[in-house]
Amino acid sequence: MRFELLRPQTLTEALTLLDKYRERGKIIAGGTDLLVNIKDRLINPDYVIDIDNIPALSDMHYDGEQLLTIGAGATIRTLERSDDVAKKCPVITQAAGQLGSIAIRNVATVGGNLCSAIPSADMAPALIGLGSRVKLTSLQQQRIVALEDFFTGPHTTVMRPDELLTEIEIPLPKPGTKGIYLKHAIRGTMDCAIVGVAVIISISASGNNCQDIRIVLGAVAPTPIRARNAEAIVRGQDIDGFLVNKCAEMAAHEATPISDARASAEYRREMTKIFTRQALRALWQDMSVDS
Amino acid sequence: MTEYSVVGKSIPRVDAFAKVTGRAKFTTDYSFPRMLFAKILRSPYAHARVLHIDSSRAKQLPGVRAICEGKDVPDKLVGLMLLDQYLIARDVVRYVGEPVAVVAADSAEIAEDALDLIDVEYEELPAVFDGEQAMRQDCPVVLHPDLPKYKGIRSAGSLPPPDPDRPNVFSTWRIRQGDIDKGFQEADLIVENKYTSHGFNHCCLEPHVADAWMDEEGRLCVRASRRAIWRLRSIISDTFDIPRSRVRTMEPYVGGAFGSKATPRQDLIACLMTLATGRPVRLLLTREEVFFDTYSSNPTVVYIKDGVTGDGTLVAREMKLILDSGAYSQHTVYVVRNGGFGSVGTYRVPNFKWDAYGVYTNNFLAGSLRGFGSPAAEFAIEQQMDIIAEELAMDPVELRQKNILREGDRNSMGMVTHSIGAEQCLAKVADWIEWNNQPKASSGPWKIGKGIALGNKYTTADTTSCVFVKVHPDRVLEVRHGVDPTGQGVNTVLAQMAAEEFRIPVENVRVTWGDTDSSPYDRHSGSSRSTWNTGLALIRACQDAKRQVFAVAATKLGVNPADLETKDWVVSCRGHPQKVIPISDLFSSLRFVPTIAEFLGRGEYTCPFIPEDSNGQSESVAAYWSHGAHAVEIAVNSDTGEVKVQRIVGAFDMGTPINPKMCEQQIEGGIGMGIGGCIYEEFVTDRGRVLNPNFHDYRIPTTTEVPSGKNVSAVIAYVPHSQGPYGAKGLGEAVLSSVAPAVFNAFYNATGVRLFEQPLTAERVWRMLRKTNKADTP
Amino acid sequence: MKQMIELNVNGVKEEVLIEPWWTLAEVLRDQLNLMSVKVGCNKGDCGSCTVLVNGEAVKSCLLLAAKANGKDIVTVEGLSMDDKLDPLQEAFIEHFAVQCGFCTPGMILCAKALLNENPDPTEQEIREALRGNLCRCTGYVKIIEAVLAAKGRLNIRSSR
Repeated sequence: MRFELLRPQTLTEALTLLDKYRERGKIIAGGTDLLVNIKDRLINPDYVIDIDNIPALSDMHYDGEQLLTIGAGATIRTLERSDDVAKKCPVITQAAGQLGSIAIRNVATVGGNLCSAIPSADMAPALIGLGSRVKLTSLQQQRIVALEDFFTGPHTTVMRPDELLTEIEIPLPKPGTKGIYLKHAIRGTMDCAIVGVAVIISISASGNNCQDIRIVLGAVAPTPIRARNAEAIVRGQDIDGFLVNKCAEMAAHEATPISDARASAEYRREMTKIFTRQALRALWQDMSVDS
Repeated sequence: MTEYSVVGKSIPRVDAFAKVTGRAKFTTDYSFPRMLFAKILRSPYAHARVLHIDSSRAKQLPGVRAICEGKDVPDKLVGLMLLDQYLIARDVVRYVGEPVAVVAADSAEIAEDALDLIDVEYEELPAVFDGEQAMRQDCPVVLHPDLPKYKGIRSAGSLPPPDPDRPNVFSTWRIRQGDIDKGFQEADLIVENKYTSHGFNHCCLEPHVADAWMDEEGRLCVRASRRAIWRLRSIISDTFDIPRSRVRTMEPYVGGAFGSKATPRQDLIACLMTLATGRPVRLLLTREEVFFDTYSSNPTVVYIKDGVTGDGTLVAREMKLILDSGAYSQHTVYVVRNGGFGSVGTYRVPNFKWDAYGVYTNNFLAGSLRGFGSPAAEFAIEQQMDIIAEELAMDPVELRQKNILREGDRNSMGMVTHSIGAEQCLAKVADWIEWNNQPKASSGPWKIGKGIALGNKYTTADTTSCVFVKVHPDRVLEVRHGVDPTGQGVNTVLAQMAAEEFRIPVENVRVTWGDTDSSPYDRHSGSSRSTWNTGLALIRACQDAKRQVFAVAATKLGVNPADLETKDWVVSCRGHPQKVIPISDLFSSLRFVPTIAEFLGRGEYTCPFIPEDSNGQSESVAAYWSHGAHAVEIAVNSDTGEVKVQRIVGAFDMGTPINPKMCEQQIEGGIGMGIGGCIYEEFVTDRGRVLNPNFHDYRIPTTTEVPSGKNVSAVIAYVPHSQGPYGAKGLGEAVLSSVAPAVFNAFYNATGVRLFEQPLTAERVWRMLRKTNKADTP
Repeated sequence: MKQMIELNVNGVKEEVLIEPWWTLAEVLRDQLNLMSVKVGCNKGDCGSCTVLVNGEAVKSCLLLAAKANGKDIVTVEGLSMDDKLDPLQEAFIEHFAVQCGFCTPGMILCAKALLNENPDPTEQEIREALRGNLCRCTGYVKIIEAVLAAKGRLNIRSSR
């Protein structure tokens, strides 16, 4: 492990460095993924650009009542502890609490979790489920990309080498929206998800009619994916046990898992069904209690 | 129960203060000026011919000080019992990760860079990854064609003559008692099954490391995280043809062992590089290397056939064990033999037939782990007992009680049973888990079940321990021992015994260890032997020291030394209250008159040992057995296959507990490790390559996988041994064996499905449950 | 290129010249001789190298030392100034929460961070908080007991 460490104090400075070094440079935020990859000799950057000192990157603020904007450098622990987040998007609190040990969450950042683009990244499914967008900034431009379209494969994203993920915008869920993130992992937070399921649902005030739903699966495809066909099964429908099962089965069908040291494709697919079903049931129960 | 003043008391561990303050030193907490760092280039193939190595580019790299290949190591095979391995592979590599070259450089980074610059040309060879397949005569892969020519390091009977029918078998052992055919004829029920135990890793938190250097006298020195410094010294001496006294081996605190850290691999390589460079060299394994290049427990297949009469009396047991050792024999020669001790340690079986085989494969290296073959044998036996009980409609506890060895019984290898607390332990765990009450009702996919199992572990007899005890004038009693403080608490146990012998506060005892320049010979901390063997040597050393003290005191007091006793650093004469003298006054005074300057007691203990006959029978081959039981309540998720231990109890006999809280530590630690081994931990391999050699994907239990508080209990059964130090026995290994079968029995109780293969990882359970459910549906 | 950083380690300001790729664990051990910082896996999985950075538990093998510049670092050496032990250290001794000792410093500091944030954790909260720190000797039973006991002592002390 040997590299030059660059510690820009401003965003422009960071972007200039990134523009200069491109593939030879790597951004370090918390470093909990990056340093493991360097130690494992999977990557060998000449320059590591530390974005710790750019205060704007760890900001968290509300734009009106519609949007929560989180700086990419916010630590997972910050999200987990934020009362605001817990009140407005509890599913984010839930997902943050599932990522690694506390000592890792104290350092790891939300931007880092997304940019590492591990298929099992714990923050991705819930954020996608909420319709989040990421702001990608380069010296030349700033663009906003739906998080759903951000990932292109394991460890790859739409980001260009000169771009930095600076912010995550989360549209605040409308009243009556509920969300859940379930992670199937053998030792809970300590392991990578075998499957992660986020479900965000809005149900009519009157009863159990599903007005909108998003089902996002982690760790069972090259990227986190929406289970759109599964969503379609319940969207606009009165939810019942039959539909829940059908929806869960469809979600499993939409998964395209691989076999690796953690689990076989077959097991991952089956667990997709089990945990989608469990998530839907939990939300449905929750809703019934509320109404 | 005899009351002692220090023995039997839970005094705080003597090492605890140093450890909570971070002052306790481990190997890498020492360092040397001009130290070099070694890194190993490893085979990517499970079996290949090494055609060509070119390290010329690596040698050019600035900071590289030496590179050694197979051609640079001494032209001799090394090993623990069977000499079957070159220090660095020559011509052939036999497992993924086998060393082919070693670099020593100014930093670990440079050494690693240099590895990338070494070009090796291999020709891949066919490989075998299944122990049973490797054992066949027609196995197309023969790992060691020269096996018939290999030499043994000692003449233990478990090194058989080569067997042309089994070219990959390097070790066999057998036990015969009674008439097995007659036994099965007497039986009303015969239960026959195959059980499979996987290889799992010790996962000591401190990785393996060895530092080597030349001292100012030109002696070769090694300090390492390991056990058995005396054996290491012999092996270094033999390997490099250096006289014993020109080698010094050392060991500070060791961050866990559990049966690992006994092979001399890292140490010899560090020595090799020091000899090549003349400089201090550190070889520190990465966590990944610990997983695939030290050794794990032996993957073991057990075939077992039991015969019982209608009333539940065991009349015959036949067992065959096949132990996969990976590419080299290492410890497995012992493990093959010693699994037999575990097989006979719990039950009365008049007709007994037992065979075990150590087999080479191209898998990861395997050898001893907390129990030396016993856990795999008992995993089979203790599930058999439950299966038999069900067949006979008997309670599993009752069936076990009926067959447990009792005081004075001769076991199936001919030794007379003494100090057996198995029955007591069984009753205690059954009581704690409320055996007679149904488990809680299942909820949703979670099925609840209870299970119980007995366990035992022997301590081998054929070893020697020595201890020095030095009396200092300033109220310090120094104990020098030669075993290994790996965390089990041997320093505290010896300090307590020494304090008891001298009737002084334990705070007055100072314990030193781990240096062949000053510590006396001992075998090692292994086979749960330190409390017993080193303890008995310590008592003799204390008696010797007291004899010396009393001799001087008797002269000064003008009394018979036989009438003297000591307490709180004062020697007194029985029946003459005025005849007292402080020990400090016995030392020579400052008048230049050399009287007495040193009291150095020496104690030696060798356990009576009679080698087994050709039927594996002996009156004295183990020092003793420790026994115990586990009872457990688990929950099985029928949707996901997850298994969670909800409540667990372990009860064990260890003779007299020298320090009861430390005995609890062992029992609780055995529970944690047992849960890991039988539920969570598994090597995932692909053609011999370990795919999960890290703490992330090789899942040892964290705080949330092991019960705590009121959900866990460690119980001590007090059954003193007449020959043990203060009646004590060893405990370190016994605490593991019965966890796995208790969990598997609970699994059956919860699901109605009997599984025969460890571990109960979620996916395997899910698969097995699904298979069974499908089979049930017409 | 080497650079100078300043760490406030156990209450003492230390200036250290570091290589940019050095981790905090390497600097604490190799440059400052704080050998209580144990490295068991070097990949952030075992927790043996846990230290407190500005009061929070951090795995020092996965934190670049440069990023700790200007911060307060506590290692176990810093918990027991002048031989006065922290209640957690006392409890680890009295409750036999120590065996081989390799995980002990990290375990104590992880518990310290927990008690800093939550002075009255339940047994379950302790289990959750310590799950990133592996121990192979104890089965964790007495470690959890010790943290429960230490919390009582801390509360008694602070109520005085």
